[in-house]
Amino acid sequence: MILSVAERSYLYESLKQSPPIRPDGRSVKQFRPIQTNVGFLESSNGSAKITLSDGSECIVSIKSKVIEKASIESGRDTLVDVDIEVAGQRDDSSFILNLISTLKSIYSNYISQESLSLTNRFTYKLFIDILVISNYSYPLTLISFTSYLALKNTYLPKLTSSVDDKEIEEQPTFHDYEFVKLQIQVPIIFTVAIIDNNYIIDPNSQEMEVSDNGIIIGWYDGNIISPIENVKLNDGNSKSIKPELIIKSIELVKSLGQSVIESLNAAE
Amino acid sequence: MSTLDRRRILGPANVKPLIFGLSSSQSKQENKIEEEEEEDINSQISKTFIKTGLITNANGSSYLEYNGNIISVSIYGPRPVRGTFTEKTSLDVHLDDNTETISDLLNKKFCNYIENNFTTVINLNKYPKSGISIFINVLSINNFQKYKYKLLSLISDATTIALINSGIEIIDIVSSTFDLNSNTVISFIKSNEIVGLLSDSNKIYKDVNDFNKIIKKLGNDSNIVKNSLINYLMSGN
Repeated sequence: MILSVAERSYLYESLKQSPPIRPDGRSVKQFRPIQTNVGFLESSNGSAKITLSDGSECIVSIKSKVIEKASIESGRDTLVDVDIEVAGQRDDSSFILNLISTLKSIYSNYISQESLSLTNRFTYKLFIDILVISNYSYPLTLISFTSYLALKNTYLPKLTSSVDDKEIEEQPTFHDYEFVKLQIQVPIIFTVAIIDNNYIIDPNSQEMEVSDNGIIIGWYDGNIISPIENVKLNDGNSKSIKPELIIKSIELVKSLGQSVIESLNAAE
Repeated sequence: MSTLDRRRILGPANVKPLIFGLSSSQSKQENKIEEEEEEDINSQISKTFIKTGLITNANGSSYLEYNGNIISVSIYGPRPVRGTFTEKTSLDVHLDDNTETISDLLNKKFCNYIENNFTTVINLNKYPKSGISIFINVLSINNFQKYKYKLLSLISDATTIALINSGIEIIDIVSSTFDLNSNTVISFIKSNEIVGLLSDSNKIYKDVNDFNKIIKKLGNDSNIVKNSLINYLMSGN
């Protein structure tokens, strides 16, 4: 978004106030309203869509495949694979690759092996395909919320053969039409923008444009987790961050996480 | 003449001697020494070798060696860019890994970190309609799996020195430090303001204060790193 010098200075000055005056009248810890849909893709195991008030839209589809556990232990395969497509961005751009690497590391660390395990030799592998149809702000929070909903609403085929296949070589067989809901805890990621001595959650495109810097913070089960990183929210006017602001933002995310999870769960 | 040993004392020609791995207690001991060293910033500095201006083609360059990690950074620019007028310099970072250990995803992550750090620090408005390119060459890596972000902090330090060598205006010296326990790298300017932060481990922070402690510790270390960088620059090597 291109702002004139006057617009930029007006926005910056109002966000600098204590408490900050945000262009859409939100408080420091208030999110933009979201609209959710789940389970609308018939051919995938789980799906979700979130539409933000500014028109940003993200669709996530979860697919699964049965693989041998040995291939994970030997490092040939991973339990979770993430693919992201953002409209208007090249697949090999550093923006996309950074999003993929952040999500891959958070999901492979916190989606437990037991929840996907089938038998002694086989396990499910999840493919998380993310499509951001339109985005006006930094899409990581939107992506992580949508993936949360999709993963929480994933149904995998029910295993009918024996779980213990150590002794007898047996391919797992599944029920024809019954599915089991995937029971996992999913981490989410928050974006905080830093403006002077203020920090605001879920910045929109105008706030991003004038912000000094941005931080992404992971949240899982009531605690703060990696990634804790600073991100570039605009081109060229980034400034350094005071350590106290990072700590305050982390505290804010820690206090907000549970209520976000509750409202996402209510959307199912 | 056949090189085969007919007496069969040496065995077949393609035989390789048996080498036994380190015993677990030995490797544990070595790990412990390495980890203790990671805590002691002063001993790390005394083991670091820096040289600037080795690449004459570039506008500025630096060469850094520490504990089996070798990095060379060259800066090209500010040079004019084609096309429409731009108010600010554009900065681009390329990382070339000669050892082929850094994956594509990590390579981009490293480049992104360096770019974020230095867009904050370089006085971009000073050079309109131009571009600055930072080329990082990683020549050797020591224990990448465990110390990948240590390598990133070294790259960041080498880039600062190269930028100073090139005479490009920056607002302060960026000094980066690494914490092994939480796998975190932070870059500081102006004694304790943060320009770069990257933490990637499976550690769970139950108490926010734990992270505060890491920032404080790395902040203190970064001041020591910064002083030694200034000492190096003032000594006129």
